[in-house]
Amino acid sequence: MIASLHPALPLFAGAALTGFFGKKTGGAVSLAAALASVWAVSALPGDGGTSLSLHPAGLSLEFLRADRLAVLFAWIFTLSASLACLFSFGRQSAAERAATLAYAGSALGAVFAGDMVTLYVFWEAMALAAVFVILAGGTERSRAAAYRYALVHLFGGICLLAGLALLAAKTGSTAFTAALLADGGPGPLLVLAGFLINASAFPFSAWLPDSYPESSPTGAVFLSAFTTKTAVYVLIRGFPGYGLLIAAGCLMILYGLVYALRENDLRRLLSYSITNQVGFMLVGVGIGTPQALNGACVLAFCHILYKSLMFMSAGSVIAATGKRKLTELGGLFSAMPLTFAATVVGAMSLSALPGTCGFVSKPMVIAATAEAHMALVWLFLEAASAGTLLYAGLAVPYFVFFGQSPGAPGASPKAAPSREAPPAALAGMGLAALACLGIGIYPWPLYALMPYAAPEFVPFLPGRITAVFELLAFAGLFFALYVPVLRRRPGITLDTDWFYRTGGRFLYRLADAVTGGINTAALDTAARAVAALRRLTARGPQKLAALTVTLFFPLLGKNAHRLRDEAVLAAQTWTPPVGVTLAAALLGLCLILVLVL
Amino acid sequence: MKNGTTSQKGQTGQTGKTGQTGQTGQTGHAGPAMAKGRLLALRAAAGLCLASLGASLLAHGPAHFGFDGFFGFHALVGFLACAALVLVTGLAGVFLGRGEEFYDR
Repeated sequence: MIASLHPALPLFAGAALTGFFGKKTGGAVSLAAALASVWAVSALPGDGGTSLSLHPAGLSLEFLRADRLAVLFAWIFTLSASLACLFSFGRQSAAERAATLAYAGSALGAVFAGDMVTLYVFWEAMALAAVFVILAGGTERSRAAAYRYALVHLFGGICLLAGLALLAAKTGSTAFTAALLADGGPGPLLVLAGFLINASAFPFSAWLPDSYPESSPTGAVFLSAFTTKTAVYVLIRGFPGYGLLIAAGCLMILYGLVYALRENDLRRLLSYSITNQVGFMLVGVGIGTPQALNGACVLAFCHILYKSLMFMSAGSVIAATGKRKLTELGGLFSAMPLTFAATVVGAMSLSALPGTCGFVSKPMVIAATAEAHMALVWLFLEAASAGTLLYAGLAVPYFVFFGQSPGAPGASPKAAPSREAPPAALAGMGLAALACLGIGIYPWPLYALMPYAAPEFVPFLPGRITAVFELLAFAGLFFALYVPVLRRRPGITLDTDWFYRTGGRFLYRLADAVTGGINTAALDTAARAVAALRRLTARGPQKLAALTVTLFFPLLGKNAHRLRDEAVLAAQTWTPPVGVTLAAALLGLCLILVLVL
Repeated sequence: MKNGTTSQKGQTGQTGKTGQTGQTGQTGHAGPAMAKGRLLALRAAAGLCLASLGASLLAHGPAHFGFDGFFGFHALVGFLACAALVLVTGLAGVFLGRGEEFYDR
C-alpha cells in the first residue's frame, strides 16, 4: 500500500493543513509536504504496474497510472514544487500556501490520471487552484487578472468536457489513450482545443502573460511550472505525431519571441518566454518520433527548472525593489550578486548554452526535426534559438542588473536597495541553479528517465557544441551592437486578450445601453400612462356630462346650453342639481328593477 | 565540452563588462564611461565570434541538409535571425504598441 501512495496526496494533505500555521511553520509544512511527494514518486515502481482505481456508477476511474511518461513529469513537478516551497519559505500568506500546494497536487493528479474523467476533474481543480494563487497577489490588478484567467480556463475546461462526452458517447470508453483520440471527429478536436488553451497556444495565449505577472513574487514560481507543462504532457500522451502541432508550435515560438522582445515588464517577458519554449515542445510532439517525444519530455523537464529559476530571481528582484519594469530596474549587480548569478544560470540555460540543461534538451527537438527532414522547421528552430539569447538570455541579466535606463526613476544610487534575497530564497535559487548546471554537465540520469525507446542521443558532439557556440556568439554580437535599439521602452503591446478585454467592455456597454434603454422607455411609458389617467379622471366626467347633454340637444330646445353648462359644472364640483340627482336615482332604481325581474 | 565551458564563461564575462556601463553611469559621468563599457563589450563579443569561428574550423557541425554545410552558416543564421526578429518586432510595435494606461482608461 505504501508503495503505491499517490504522490498528490501529501500535497493535498499539506494544502489542507498549512493554512492553520503561521508563516514559518506553515512554510515548513508546505516544504515537508512537497518533499513527501518527491519521496512518494521515488517509491513508485515506475514500470506502469501501479494502479489505483475506483468504479463508481459504471465509470472506471484510474487515479494512478504510473508509467514512465507520467513518472518523468511527476519527478519534475514534485522537485520543482519542493524548490518553489523552499524559495518561498516564510514569505507566503496562508491562502497562497494552501492554493499553491493544491495547485501542484492537482497537476500531479492530472499527470497520473488514467482516464478522461479523472483528468478532467484534476484539470479543473488545477485551474481553480491557480485562480486562488493569482488572487493571492492581493492587488486590484491581480483580482481582475484572476477573473480573466478563470474565464479562459473555464472555456478550455468546457471544451475538454464536451470533447470527452462526445468521445464517450461515440466509443463508449473514457480511457485516455492516443489510440482513442486518433479516432477523428469533433470529440478529439474539442479535447485538443482544451489542451491547447492550457498550453497557451496562439491565439489562446494571452491569458499567460496577463495573469502570471500579477501574482505574488512567490506565487509566480509555482504558476510557471505546472499548467503549460501539464498541457504538454497530455499532448504527448494524447496527440503524438499530430501534424498540426508543428505549425502551432512554430507560431507560438514566433509569437513568444516578438512579444518578449518588446515587453518591458520583467515577469511578462518571462511569461512570453514560456509560450516560446512550450512551442519547441509542441513541435517535438507534432513530429511524434520517439526521439522527438523524448526531446519534448526532457525539454519540459529542463524548462521547468530554468524557468522556475528565472521566476525566482525575477521575484527576488521585484520583492527587493518593488519595481517590475525593465525601464525602472537596472544597476542591481552590486546589491544582489547572488541573485544575478542565479539569473545568469537561468538565462543561459534558456539560451541552451553548452554546459547548461538547455543544451542537453532543446537540441534533441531540433535534431529530431533534422532527422524528420523538415528543413524549414529546423532552420526556424535554429534561428529562434538565437532569438532566445536576444530577448532574455542577455537582455534580462543586463537590463536588470547593469544597464540602467538614463533618466529612469530609480537611477539615483540611493534608490538601489542594498539587500540580497532572504537565505531560504537564495537556497532555492542555488539548488535550482545547481540542478541546471548539473544536468547540463551530466545529463545521463535524466536521459535514463526518458519514456520512449529511441536511438541514443549524444549531446556533446564537438560539431554540435561549436555550432551552438557560433550561433550564440553572433547573436551576442548583435546584442552588443544594438543594445540601444533593444532597450525596452514604456508601453504595452496589444495581445489577443484585447478581444476579450475590450470586447467584454463593449458587451458591458451594450448590455448597459440595451437594459438601460428598456428601463428608460418603461419609465417614460409609465409616466405618460399616469398622466393620461390623471387627465381622464380629472376631465373625463365633465366631458361625459357635456356629451350626454349634447346628445339630447334637439329635445332640450332653448335651455340646452344652460343645461349643458350646469351638467359640466356638476361633474366638475360633484354637486349635481336636484333634478339630475333624482334622475340618476331613478335610473339606478330602474336598473335594479330590471336586474331583479 | 571544453568549448562549452569556455563560451559560458565568455558570455557571463561579456555581460559583466557591458555592465560596468551602468555601474559607472550611476556616478554621474555617464557619457564617456558608457562609451568605454560599450567598446569593451563589443570587443569581447567580437573576440567570442572569432573564437567560435575558429572552433568551428576544428570541428564543424553536422550538416543535415544541402544548405547548412558551409563555413560560418550558424554565424550567419545567428546574426540574420536577430536582425529579422528586431525588424518584425519593430513592425509589430508600430501596429500593436499602445500606452501604459491603455486598459486602465
